[in-house]
Amino acid sequence: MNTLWRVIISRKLATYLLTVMIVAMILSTFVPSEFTMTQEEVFNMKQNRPAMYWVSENLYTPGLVKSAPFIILSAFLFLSTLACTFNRMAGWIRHRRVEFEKEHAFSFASSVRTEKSAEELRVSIKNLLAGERWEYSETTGESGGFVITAEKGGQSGFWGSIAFHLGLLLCFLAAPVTYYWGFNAQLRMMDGETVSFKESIVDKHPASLGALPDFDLTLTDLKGEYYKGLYKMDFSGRLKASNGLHQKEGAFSVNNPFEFTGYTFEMGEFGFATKVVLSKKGRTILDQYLMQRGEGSYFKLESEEIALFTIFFPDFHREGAKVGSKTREVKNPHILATISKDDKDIAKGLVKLGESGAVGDYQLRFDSVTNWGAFAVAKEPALPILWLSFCLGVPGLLVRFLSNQRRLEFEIASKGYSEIIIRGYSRYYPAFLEREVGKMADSLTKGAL
Amino acid sequence: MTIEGISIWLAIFGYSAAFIAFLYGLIFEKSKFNDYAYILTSAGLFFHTSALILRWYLTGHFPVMFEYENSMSGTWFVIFIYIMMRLWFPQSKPFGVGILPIVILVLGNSMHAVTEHQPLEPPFRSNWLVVHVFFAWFSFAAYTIAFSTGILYLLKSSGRKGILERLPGLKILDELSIRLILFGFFTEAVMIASGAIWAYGLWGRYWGWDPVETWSLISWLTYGVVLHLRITLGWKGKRAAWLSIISLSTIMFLLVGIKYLSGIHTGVF
Repeated sequence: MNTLWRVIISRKLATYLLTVMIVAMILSTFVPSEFTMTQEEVFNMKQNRPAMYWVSENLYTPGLVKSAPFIILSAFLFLSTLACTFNRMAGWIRHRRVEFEKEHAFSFASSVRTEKSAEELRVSIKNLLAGERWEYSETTGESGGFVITAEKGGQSGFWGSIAFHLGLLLCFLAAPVTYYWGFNAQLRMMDGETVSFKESIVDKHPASLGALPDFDLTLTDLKGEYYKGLYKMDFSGRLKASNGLHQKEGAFSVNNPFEFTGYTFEMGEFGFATKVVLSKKGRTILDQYLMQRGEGSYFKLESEEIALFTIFFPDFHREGAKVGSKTREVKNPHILATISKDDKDIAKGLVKLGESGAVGDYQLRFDSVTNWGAFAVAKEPALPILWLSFCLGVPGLLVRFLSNQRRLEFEIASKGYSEIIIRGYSRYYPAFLEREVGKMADSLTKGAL
Repeated sequence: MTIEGISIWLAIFGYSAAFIAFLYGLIFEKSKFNDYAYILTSAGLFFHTSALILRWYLTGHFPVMFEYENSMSGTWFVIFIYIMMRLWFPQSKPFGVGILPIVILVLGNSMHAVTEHQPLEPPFRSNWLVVHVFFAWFSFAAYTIAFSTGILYLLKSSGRKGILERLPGLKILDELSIRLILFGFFTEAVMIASGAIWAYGLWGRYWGWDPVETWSLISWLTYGVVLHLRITLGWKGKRAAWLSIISLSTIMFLLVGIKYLSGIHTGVF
């Protein structure tokens, strides 16, 4: 049991295991993943290189941190930090002092001879220490003289370190709380639309959360503002939520989410939705709003075994054979539509807002354009834990940084003259310690106090 | 080329000339080159400051967006803190020999990514931006100067003369290194904490393990390991100097290499 305890509180082992964790994370960031590949590349990898796909899914960072070995390693480090922290606290409560002899600390010694008597020196030392706010105590030395032990910076530095490690432990705890009880999903809505929250959210995690609340959401006044028509300035709108009992309406924008019954709605994406009607020989095939993305949007039409690819130009501009959008504002809206069958493009057409145009054998009518927004929906029960961890950890670290834990021992012996041996111990700062011990020695020799 | 462009290139030139002067002084043991190098660094900082102020005026915001602005501001911070440190601690003048190559590398690397003057994009319009970015630069500056003290420790302990004679003693270099790493560790903790809070309001999650977040954590934990090795396990002297040199590589990758790993963060970072 003793061996197990020593292994758990072993800082050397914890340091080495932390190093292993760091190396694993470094390697995981280089694994090809959704962060470094397009959706098409991911799809191709899944089809053609299943082994590599398995590596990608399981060893890229989000996959690695959910793997059993990583979780076991994290759990051990959590336990080690917890045990070490409480062991240190128990030691402090028992001894009320830092055991420098057992810790790896810097040390420095100096000896001074003086004509003063031991009793005079004792008073001088105590006055010197009291003046510089050292906490000191006196004992009898081995050779019959006396020893004065003084400490400074120990309490604040110690408790700063404890607070920091407790903050770290809370951060560890926040992760499983988020994973098991947190909620996040995506919600896409068009301006002016009212949707049911429960039925419209997608990409839910965790998928099997149980009963979701049912309330209606209405999106209005969704707009994007651009500087000189090109540079993003702001995206904002208004959301109204109602579940029969409660109702709330409020503005939102990027960095300013809307909140309702604990769920936050953060604006993540903004785009244009175009109302199009695709028909062939008088038969309507498609009549809906299409949510456009900047690089183009792809829609599969199973009934016709074709695919429709559209690019929306809010401010259409042509220069020779090149087409594009001069600005991001809706000034001259056009849609460039491409129809493909069996992965081959069979028709292309350009249609202006309010007009109809031929796309091969098909007719495309472009009726209207509005905006759509995508929201990241989240409910995060771990937030209070995180805030507590930051409030403990960051100030703890600051206090630790500002403290300078050290100890001085004055051993005085009478041999016809008085000889003082001053031993200093410092956790961090050897040069500072030497200067401090030297200053003490000078003060005592000159009889400063 | 614009006035801003000319200013920043003059800054790079100043820092490069200063680095050559430091190196010359070091290799040929000419301590006067220490002073020339410092003057050139100050001149470089003058042009750097001009470029920064000009960019701020033309864009209407402190330069924080994307690689070019971030590098411009971050490196400015490093040089500024080095100059301030030299005023408080004159013996730190030769630290430039380790700091300048890092600054030149980061600033030079960002020159390919110069962007047009544009207003602050919506994701950056947050009070947390100030906390997150400023503490990031503080930590970058602290770690870079700690890197320099490590290099100078190794050079001084090799017995070379010249500008190294003017350096503080080995114990003081060792102590400076740990103080800087402690400071950097604290400021990086604030950076990570404020980043997580900002991320929740922006993306609906406080941590997503994207490459930038992961490498921030990697660098912070690396310095955590350095502190444990130094404070708890008693590593000092040359071993400690090597630690402060090698651990900066994690920060450098975060600044220079991360763009190759993409992610939601690099779209705005």
